[in-house]
Amino acid sequence: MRFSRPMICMIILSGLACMGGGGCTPVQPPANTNATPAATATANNTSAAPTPPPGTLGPAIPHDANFSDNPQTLAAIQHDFDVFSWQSFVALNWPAMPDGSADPGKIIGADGDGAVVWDGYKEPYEVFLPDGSTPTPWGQQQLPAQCRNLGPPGDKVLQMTQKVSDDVLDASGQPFGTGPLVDQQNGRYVRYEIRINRDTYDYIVQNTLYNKEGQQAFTQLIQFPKGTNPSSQAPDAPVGSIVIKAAWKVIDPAQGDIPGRFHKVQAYVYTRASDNPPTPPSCELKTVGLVGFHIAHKTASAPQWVWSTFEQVDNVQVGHDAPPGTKANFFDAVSTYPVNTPPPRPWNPNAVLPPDKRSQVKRVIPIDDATKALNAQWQAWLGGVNKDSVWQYYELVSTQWPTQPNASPTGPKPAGDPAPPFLANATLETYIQGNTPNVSSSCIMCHNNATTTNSKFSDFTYLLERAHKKGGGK
Amino acid sequence: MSSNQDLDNFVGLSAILTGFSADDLNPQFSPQPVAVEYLQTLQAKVAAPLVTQLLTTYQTIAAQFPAAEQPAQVQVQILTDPQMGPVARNIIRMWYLSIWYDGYDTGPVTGFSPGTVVSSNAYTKGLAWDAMQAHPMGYSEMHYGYWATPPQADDSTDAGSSANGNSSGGGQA
Repeated sequence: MRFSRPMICMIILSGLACMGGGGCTPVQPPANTNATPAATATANNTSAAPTPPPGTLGPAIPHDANFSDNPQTLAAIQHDFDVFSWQSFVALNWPAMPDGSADPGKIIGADGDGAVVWDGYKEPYEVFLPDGSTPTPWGQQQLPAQCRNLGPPGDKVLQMTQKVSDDVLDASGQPFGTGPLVDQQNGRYVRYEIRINRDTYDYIVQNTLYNKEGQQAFTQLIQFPKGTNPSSQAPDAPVGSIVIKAAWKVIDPAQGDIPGRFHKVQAYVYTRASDNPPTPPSCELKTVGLVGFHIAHKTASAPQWVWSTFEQVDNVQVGHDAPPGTKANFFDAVSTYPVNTPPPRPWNPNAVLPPDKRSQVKRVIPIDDATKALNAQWQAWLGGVNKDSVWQYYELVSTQWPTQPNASPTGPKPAGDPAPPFLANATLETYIQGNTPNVSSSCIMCHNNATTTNSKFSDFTYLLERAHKKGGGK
Repeated sequence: MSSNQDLDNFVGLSAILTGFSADDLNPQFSPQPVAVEYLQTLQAKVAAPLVTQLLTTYQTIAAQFPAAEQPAQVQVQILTDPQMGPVARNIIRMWYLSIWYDGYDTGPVTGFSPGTVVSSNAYTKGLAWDAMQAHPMGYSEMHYGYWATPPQADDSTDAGSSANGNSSGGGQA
């Protein structure tokens, strides 16, 4: 057997866009071209801008990787998954229409920054409600009370200060030493959010996995939908389950941030009440910039999911084309604070830490040379759409995939021998970088331990641990 | 003899010595091929002429005999040889226990004999754990609650013998 070649190119060229709703909706290609709008992008291009192959920059979320022809090697398949990652990144960050779906008439970055497709995905707090009741329908959002009536509507509610939420921190966060990440420029905590696409949401709701009683009653093996490439026999094949994790920093030009190098949103920065230190709940409306971006996507070629992770290029060192004076987001050469060490306790997300206590982050495993070359290519293409595009300032760290995808979920090695064996995003797994088995960050190996509230394997997502009892309570 | 040829011969010989298939021992797409680490350990611990003799003897066996007869030939030509036999038995220990035992050529090896765990990667991949469908201390991929169900009846114990029946990791839709 070999990694077979699905028909991603055909999907893209046919204009099938899998959009905010998670399903696939036909998108009409623009007039005068049979490719995606990117092929016709000229408004802000420089004449020397590199041109990607037709259809490369498109709104269609790939359902699976597109495997190249022989010879198949570890490096070749890694490349194929890395391309899948970039295609996914572009499609998920494609300009969205008011209903959350991809706007086929626009091109990523051509008209500046704005709402993107994954903004319309659901957050876990909207799905796993405190009283275990049925989640709000797809497309509706409920704001925390402290965030209401704050003036202009914000785009997002950011409340997590660690990748692992408060709900599961005791179970999964502390054993790995996970701690908050503090911005070098302004001393503020980085905020996180998790979002799920429509296929993931539907599976949870249809199987009543949003409360403890429903999980108890579900006796089958939990298997989220996998993305399958459409074919003539199955033109409506699902995009598959997608879980997004994003890391955001507060953008403050007065502190040295260069806003034009970040995808930005107005967000409600919400802090829950805390006992240590005593902190009341609060909510502030802030401009935040994207610094980290995980995409976990279950596909036919990867039942252990494909794990793509991106960062803003200035996170641990100043990236390409930076104007003079640009500073790294999470590293300062003159700081004496220990590298890759969580900030001192107590952790208070409302605090602004002094410069000598801010996170000093170094990447432990360098980005692979082949991935760097691919990044340069895609960054040039995105910059070719618009020389001011914020999207050219993001880089793929790597893509983790199972080399043994058919390993039995009930066997002794269900994780499928992931490649690369270790993968960390400097903003999301800051303090667990490295190459020690069962200790250092490895997306698949970690999520292989995920369970439901009744300790059943939950198919590589920790989200189901957040379910409450019907009527309330843990 | 090229290094790739050395690795092929080492894996082929190891397959006969351990009872696991060559695909199990050295999967095509393994990101951390433990076979390479074991060969490097062998080459670092054993005199080069003896390593060459061991691998070329296997290569000759593989070229001259059908697969079904090769194990018996390995028994006769390698395991009973006073020089190569102890090395071959130590290779078996290395594959199963992830440890290279020193002093293997001077007397019996026991669990208390001095030895070195080849690497953290090798520690997680000892064949003993696959054979008994268990896991080494401190490292398990098995899902929570696995102890409540009987082990699988078949021998698909390693990722290399995954459901696609091939170590190449294929089976994609």
